[in-house]
Amino acid sequence: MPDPSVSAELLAIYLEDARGQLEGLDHALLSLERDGFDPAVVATVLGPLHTLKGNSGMMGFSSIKEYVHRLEDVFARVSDGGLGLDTEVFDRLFAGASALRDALEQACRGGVEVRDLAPEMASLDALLLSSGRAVAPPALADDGEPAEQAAALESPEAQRAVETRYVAARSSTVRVDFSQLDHLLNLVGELIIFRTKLDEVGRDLAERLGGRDAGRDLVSAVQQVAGVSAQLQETVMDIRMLPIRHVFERFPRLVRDLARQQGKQVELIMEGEGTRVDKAIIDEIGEPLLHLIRNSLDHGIETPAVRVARGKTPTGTILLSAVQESNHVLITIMDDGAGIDAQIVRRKATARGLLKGDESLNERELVQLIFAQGFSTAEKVGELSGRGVGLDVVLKSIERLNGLVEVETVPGVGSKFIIELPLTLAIISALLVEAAGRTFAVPLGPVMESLKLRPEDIRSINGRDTLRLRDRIVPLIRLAEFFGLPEASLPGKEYVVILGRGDKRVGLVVDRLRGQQEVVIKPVDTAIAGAAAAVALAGATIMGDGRVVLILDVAAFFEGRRHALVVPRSDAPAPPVA
Amino acid sequence: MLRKILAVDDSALIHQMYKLFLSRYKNCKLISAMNGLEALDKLGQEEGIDLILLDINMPVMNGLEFLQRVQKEPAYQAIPVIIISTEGKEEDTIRGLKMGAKGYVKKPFQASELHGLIEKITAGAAS
Repeated sequence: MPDPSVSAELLAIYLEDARGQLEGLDHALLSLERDGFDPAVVATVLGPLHTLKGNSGMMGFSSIKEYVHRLEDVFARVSDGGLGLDTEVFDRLFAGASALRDALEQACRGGVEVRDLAPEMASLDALLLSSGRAVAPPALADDGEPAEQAAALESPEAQRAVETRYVAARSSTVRVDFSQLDHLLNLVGELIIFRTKLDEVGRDLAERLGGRDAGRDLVSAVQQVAGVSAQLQETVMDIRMLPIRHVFERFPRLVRDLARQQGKQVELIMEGEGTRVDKAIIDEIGEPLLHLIRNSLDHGIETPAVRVARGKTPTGTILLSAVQESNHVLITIMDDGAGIDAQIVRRKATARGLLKGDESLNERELVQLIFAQGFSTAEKVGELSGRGVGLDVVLKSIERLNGLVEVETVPGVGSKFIIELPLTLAIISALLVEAAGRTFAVPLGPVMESLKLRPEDIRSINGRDTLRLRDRIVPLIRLAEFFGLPEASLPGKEYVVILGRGDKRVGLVVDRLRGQQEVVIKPVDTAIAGAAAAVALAGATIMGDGRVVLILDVAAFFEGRRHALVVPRSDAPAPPVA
Repeated sequence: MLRKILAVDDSALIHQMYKLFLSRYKNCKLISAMNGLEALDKLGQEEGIDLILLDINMPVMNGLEFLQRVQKEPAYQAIPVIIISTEGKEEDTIRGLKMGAKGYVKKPFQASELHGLIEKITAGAAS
């Protein structure tokens, strides 16, 4: 057995590899089920399974090892035609793959096997027996004949094939710990901050030097530094990007299982799997997507009988697509199911106290209520879908990633969920605003517009200031007041930043708009992260002049989280406004 | 004298195990390759490799193909090869032994087993 002090590291490596191997197994099973038997597909599972068996043995996971061994036998039998692939076989193999994944994850949590795979093993043994061959592997005393294979390798074609592969196989990749990339990006972020500073100093000096050569040289050197650091930033960001395939991969299996369980026929179409997103987002986006897909399957796609009665094809379609648009990724989950009935949403929202009787919302606004906390359209909690969590969790996870989610629906025709995510979490575009002499950064995503606030546009409703903006009433939040800062602004000189979340709007009143800028997010210390969230802060950034500027957590303004603390002191006094 | 060991396996876990098992073993240097082709590459780059630990089942180029190529190169022929086999592919191990591998260890193996076999084989190679 490995030394316990290092076994955590070994477990992590084992688990990472095993997940990949199981992903491959699922993938092959789905493809075999969809397209029928193909020896090439079967061949793709054999290698990884063999490696998984060896690795499991090394980790001392003997039940897992034995089970994988059985799986190898089954695939070998399938491969040589001794076992046909019918629904029964697929069911056993899919169930086995799930059990195996489960056993593996559990074993890696504590380093010892917890789940006994004996029942699944028996299920495979029954398959092997029915295929009419013995289960026992050959013993090592066997007399093999290597000459034949050796001869085959000597043929010129084989030789060439090997040589081609040799050239192609020169590995150009290295494995790097993600934390190192994180650190690298942090350094690049700081470089960019100081580059801005250098830029300012350079301009200033060049001006004083007049048209002298030294001044011109300085300016051009600074420009070169700027160019190279921008490229460096881009490259580092690019290294952190992974194709969204890593997340999408697990959904075909999920859709298949759910559909079978519910007696539905569903085809999952995936597009844009190659779209690249920051790994930090890849790690977080799986859960919300899973939830939305389950939602489409549970509540969207109808049973074949209902579909036919509605004049649709018996098989429903879920489209999962990703596409990059400038510095955003749009992920769409679309189904051709029942759609969402706004009137049912209204009834449920009213029953759950989310909607007051006198509130008048249009259909589109009503539908967005499915994201409200405490709303769940599920009549009963499904085994896989429910877990008692609503779409509010999806909304929260996506907002944590500085993203937006919207739903469009046509009753009877289908629904479409659109998620907009930034390409990276490390650098965001922000609108810099000033309140009570301090600068704050507002992530640009939810900023709809910003305008000058004229005192005559302000209406007080129920003691709360609101702004009439075209055809809607927007509640106003004064940033200085929100943070308990002394208000210094003069009425008539203020600005309002209109923030949007779904169909909701909030106006943030500030003293001054200072323009748009890319800012590097420095996460708030975890020790105070809870407190920071409570006071609507998402993080901080450092400006060119070394000042720390706080980044606002826009979601808090919509949830009515109120401040309990005065704003942290990290914000040094702002320089006098020029 | 054992100076450099070339370990060929497609599993990152097994490489990590070798690191644990062999890092303090006779001060030898461990060189890793993920498949037969990479291993051939390493043989060309690194001078004085004096032992090869070889997995059979690998993508791109498997252990038997690699072994065959090594046996044909006068420069590499003399390097002893130990096959690291996994249950269920016994016929491949036999084939490898016939092709000139000096011994085999079956996964899962212990550090002591590996050390014992290396000792035996390198002693034999030296005499």
